[in-house]
Amino acid sequence: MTALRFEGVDKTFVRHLHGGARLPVLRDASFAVAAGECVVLTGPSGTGKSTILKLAYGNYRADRGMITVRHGEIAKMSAGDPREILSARRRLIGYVSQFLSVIPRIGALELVTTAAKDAGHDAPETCAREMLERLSLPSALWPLPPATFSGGERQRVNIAIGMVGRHPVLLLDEPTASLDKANRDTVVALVNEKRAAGAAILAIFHDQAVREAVATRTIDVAAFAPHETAAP
Amino acid sequence: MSEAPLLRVEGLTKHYGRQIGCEAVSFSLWPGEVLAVVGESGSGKTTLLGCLWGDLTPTGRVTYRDQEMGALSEAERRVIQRTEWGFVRQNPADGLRMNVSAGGNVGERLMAIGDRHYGTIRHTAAEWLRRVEIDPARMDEMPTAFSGGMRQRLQIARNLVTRPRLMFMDEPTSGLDVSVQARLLDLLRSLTRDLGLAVIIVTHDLGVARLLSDRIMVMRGGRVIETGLTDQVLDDPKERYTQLLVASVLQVAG
Repeated sequence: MTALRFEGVDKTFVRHLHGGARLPVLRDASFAVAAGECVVLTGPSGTGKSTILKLAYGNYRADRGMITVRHGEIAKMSAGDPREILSARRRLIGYVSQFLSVIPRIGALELVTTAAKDAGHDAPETCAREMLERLSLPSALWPLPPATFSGGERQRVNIAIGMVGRHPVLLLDEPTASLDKANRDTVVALVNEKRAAGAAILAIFHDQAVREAVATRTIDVAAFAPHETAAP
Repeated sequence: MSEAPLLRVEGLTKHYGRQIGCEAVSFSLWPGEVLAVVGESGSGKTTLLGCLWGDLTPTGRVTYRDQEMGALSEAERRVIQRTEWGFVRQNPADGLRMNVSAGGNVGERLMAIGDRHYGTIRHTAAEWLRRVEIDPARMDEMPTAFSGGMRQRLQIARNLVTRPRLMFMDEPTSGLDVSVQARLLDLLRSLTRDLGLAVIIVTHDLGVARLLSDRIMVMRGGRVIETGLTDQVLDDPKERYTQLLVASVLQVAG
């Protein structure tokens, strides 16, 4: 069963402040990720891997083509309806980025608990504690807002928020970038558990060992490279 | 998804003589949704707020829960303004009564809807002061004794005490120090979430829009030039003017 599908998606950035420069990134991107798959995007930096994840999440707007999340229902992430996209983000599609952007004053445990609550867990706080323990975030940090944390600590909070959810589709943008070996292994285990439980995962992992440990398939984004030249 | 919008705005237009205040503005707002209206001064965002609230008389149609606002009498509109709506002004002195105690400022809106029991009013006022992080022990002090941030929180409590469904906010954080702003933004974000409030917030500060809003409307010269999910519009702006606004924000490394 297909859970995430791209059909003929084009994306070009137009920089009006720089003489209307056109930066084509994707041309006719078409692929699908099924439930129980972990598809890792490969290709050098700047070829559009993160752009694909942002399009899937409805963060970037596609110029052409269609992006859908299917889970019993069909949610169009490429169409313009903000309410449909917000609703899909709550229920269908999760996103773990390299960076954490949260409200300054809320503590780490509360952030993860809220995410667990949103996902409909029966005992959200217990669930959040287990997740933070697994990611070995020192419990002294739990009541504190992550704004003051180190990069690796913040990233673990971010992963906990994303992984505690129950979204059938999960997007991962380099979640292991600033983690040590032990925590990387934990993330690998979490990703594999999610997949085994039926999630469809689309991910970017630069670390080759991690990639080999999680990917069921890779897609080289060079296949979606546009051959367009800059407009006059 | 099929639920009806709380507010529907169609073709709202206001001219000042030959000058455009706002032109052909249309949008819908659903319960619990936070909409940010952004643009520079003179873009028409404050005019739009005035038209929606009823300070100004535009052409076009504003429908609130199946009531066409233009068809209501002045008295009927005031009832809605005092009960189901709220308005947080940029300058707290414009939204508060500065010669009335903090508790009185909050209690007044309750009395306006017919609450007469002094003990209940005082108790409710104390509760709302607590929720906006003002020590209830200070409820008999005048707002003039409060700092700018406290006054703004008091104004918010005054509005929320009647449990409105829809709040209008005009640059609610812009007169405050940066550290005070952060606290107020946090408070606004948790209150809107907990209470399921729908909010239309006018701001020139894209950081405020990003933190608080689900959707964004970019205005320029009285017209809406770009609209969408807040993170879409700010991360992938299409219009030249929106790109300029986004590019003008100082990038601070996280």
